[in-house]
Amino acid sequence: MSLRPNRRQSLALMAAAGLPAWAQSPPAVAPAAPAASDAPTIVLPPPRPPIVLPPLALRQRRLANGLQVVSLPTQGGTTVSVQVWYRVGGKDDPVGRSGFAHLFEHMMFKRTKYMRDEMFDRLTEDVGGQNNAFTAEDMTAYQNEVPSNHLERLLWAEAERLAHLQVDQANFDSERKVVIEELRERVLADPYGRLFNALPQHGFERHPYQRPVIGSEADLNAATLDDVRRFHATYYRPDNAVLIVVGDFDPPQLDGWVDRYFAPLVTPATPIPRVTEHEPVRARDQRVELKAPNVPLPAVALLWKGPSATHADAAALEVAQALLSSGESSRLNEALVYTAQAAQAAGFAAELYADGGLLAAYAIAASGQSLRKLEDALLNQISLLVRGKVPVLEIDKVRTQLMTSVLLSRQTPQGLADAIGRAVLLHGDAREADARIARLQAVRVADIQRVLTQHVLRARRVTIDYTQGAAA
Amino acid sequence: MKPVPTMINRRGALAAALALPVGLAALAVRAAPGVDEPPLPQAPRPLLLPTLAQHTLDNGLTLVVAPRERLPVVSLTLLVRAGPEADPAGQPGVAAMTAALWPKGATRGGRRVGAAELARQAEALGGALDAHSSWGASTLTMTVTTPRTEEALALMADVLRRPLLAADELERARAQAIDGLRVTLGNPGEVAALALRRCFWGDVPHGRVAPPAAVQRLQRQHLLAFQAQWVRPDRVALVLAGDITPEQGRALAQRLLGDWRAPADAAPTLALAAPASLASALVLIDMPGSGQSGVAVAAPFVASTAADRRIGLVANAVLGGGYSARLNQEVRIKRGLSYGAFSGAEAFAGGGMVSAQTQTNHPNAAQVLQLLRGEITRLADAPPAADELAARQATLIGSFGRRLETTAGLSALVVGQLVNGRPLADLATHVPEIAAVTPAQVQAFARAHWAAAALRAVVVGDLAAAGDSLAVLAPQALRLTMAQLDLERPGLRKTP
Repeated sequence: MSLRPNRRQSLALMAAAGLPAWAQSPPAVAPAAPAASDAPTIVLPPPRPPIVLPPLALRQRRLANGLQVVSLPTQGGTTVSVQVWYRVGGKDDPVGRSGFAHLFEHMMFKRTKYMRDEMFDRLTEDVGGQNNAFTAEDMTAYQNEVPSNHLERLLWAEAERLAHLQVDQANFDSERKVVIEELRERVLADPYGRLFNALPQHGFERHPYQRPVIGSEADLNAATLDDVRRFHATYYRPDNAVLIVVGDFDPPQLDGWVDRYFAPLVTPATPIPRVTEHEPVRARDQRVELKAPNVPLPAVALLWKGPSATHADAAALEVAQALLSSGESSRLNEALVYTAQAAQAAGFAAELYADGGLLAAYAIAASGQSLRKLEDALLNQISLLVRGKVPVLEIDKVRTQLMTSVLLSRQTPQGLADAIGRAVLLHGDAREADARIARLQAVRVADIQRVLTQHVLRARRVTIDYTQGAAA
Repeated sequence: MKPVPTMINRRGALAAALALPVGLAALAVRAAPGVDEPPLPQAPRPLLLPTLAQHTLDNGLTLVVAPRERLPVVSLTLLVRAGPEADPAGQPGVAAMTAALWPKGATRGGRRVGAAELARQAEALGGALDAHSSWGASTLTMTVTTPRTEEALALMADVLRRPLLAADELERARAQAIDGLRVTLGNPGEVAALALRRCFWGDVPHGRVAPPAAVQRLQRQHLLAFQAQWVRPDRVALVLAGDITPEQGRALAQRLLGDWRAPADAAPTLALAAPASLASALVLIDMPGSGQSGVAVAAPFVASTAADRRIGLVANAVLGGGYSARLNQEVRIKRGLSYGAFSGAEAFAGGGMVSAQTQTNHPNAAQVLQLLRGEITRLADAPPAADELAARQATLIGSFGRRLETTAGLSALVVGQLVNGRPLADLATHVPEIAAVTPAQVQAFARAHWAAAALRAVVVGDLAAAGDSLAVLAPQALRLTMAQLDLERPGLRKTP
């Protein structure tokens, strides 16, 4: 749900161009019970052998300069994922420079001392690999996948742009224009872009998370080349980075290459600045009217503050999110979209970051439906989950959905490396990629009800109405 | 059971991709690999295509099993070889709506099961039951863990063979689709893509789109007729990719689909036609207040049966098939005019289309339009250099290889072959044929197909904000407001 700016535009739109118009709309109708056809029978699924996932055979080391290295050899493929994750994100944007961490990420694909502009594309795309990068609230990740015989070249290149980035005014101006077009495409051209961009601004009161990662056009235009040099010197250093290698490689050979290319990099003696802001508990409810041109159907979003990603309640909130909005049979979809036909789409998201989180319930109205009715319906569904009975089969369903999605993400080196990156960046431990699964499977109904009571039902909220009109 | 081999060696393509403008020997003197230039690559590893097992059941149903046992996951696809091309003239949207209603009710074990219960049954198996219709096929797909494979296929088989296609569900889906279309029609990029399809293909099946008015006219009889005509075992294929053997797959298909009888009459086939483009080369659609302008240009592509279709794929890759391809170089990398500009090719038995598309700030729309058109026509005079071609070939080959990494990607490759009516063995020739394409072949392809007169273009955005440059560019352009736009009409203009 959050806007996660990245370097590459998705090709999904092109791929979808062959469909008849309405086949492209978000998955539509969800199911609930036509009385006659849904006789209450209980069909217990036959017992199945449980899926046992062996723990990932992670290899971990830390170089003397502080660089953390996590690697995982896998069998049967011919590609390798090489990723570098930096502990710097949108929250670290300098004052008056919202969007800077992301703009900087784009500059990492330009020139270095020994690489010409866009040479990363020569080393990845041009040999049958791919590269991308994304900037989120707490992190910036560079994600490459290449035929495995190109592994050493990528290690050299990642070390090179960590150590020797070079920037010039012409490249900076051109890439800034690209980022501003990215902002227009995500925020202004998408009918609901302005709404999702507004969530952090209204959801947080003090923490820099309140600035959207994509930033504002004015702040992007204010950025200078000196900002770029300073940002690289401040945050792009070995002790602020995690190198992740997953796929088809020979471990001793990898270790030798890592020593050769990364061990000589120097870590500055200065400490890395960190955001220390604490978000206060919200004192009172608030209402926001947000207007934009070309809003096809009005929408409403309810926002509460959430705990951090490492909080003990995080797993229960993630399972609550799945019960409320994962799939056609999820509670919000079944009640609001299918049965009441009040919403065109509805969802609940627990966006938990390193220093705090945002919980959002939202719905896009069906034609002619009032936002107040939708707001009540969203709150009713959360109350029903907290106070009502949750069938065992429903919990089983969510556990199976979560396990299946984990397996799917583990099919590729990029997916595995991504799971490792999130585990290290948000939890400080690569083994969290496995531990997370066990924790999610252990969540009980009582946990879900307790965390929703505490963080949602008893908490103050912001309600945003999004309607057609002249933008403020 | 007919196993299709193969092992594809990427060596040729990759060696070519690494050819540098300067000889390696010279470089070795001047530069030190691993210090001031990248170290040299190791020897490439061969790409392995899984052994595909194809089999036809007695009732004519096609089965393909693509084993890949690395993780306990199976991707299942049931496809009917009929998509929106099968919609009756004057009533677009039938195939798409029929597919949308499949998971909204079916008879299971003699009992009518409604949409809500079906969704719960499907999602209890771990994966969503996706149903949709696109050119050439209407499909049901699920990905589940291995122990749930049989239950998943049983559910999919019931949904495909015994759907309720109930009137109340049609009403719901209709309202949802119309609301969804309002969102689609609020996005300049999406409107540009739809209008471009109409302009390029004209009034033939692949040019038809289903706007709200067409969805409003859909009747239950339309869906029942589609189901009766097309959904029969000899028009259906089952693809199982993942943790399953050919023997297991065959037994499963026989158990759950073997009793399905095909009607006695011959299976119908889809009627196809070549493009019949709109006379106007440029359509300008005014969307006041839109956040950007959507700019889209179409050019002819060859039919899926054409001998030079893989040359065409390479030509499209040089034009706009990736970040570093020409369109993105010119529009984004050199000029910063957009977040990205790409092209994609579609090929059917009756012909094909390449569409190049991007979004930009309104005042840049005219410049971006000229850049897209210019790059398409320029390929005829400026064939790719050897290193440029090698890079784009490697991009195509690499993307093919990555699809083999996941069960869903592997399944999609097989489905693509079935939909295009091409033998599975064809997958084994993909990489070597792509790697064999020469600059001269790309140039000849562009000369044959991408002349300026054959292009069609659409710009959707705030035309006042775009200024006069667009109008100057094409005084003959067809100008429409969103209120005047009727995507059902071949001429795009609503009748007063």
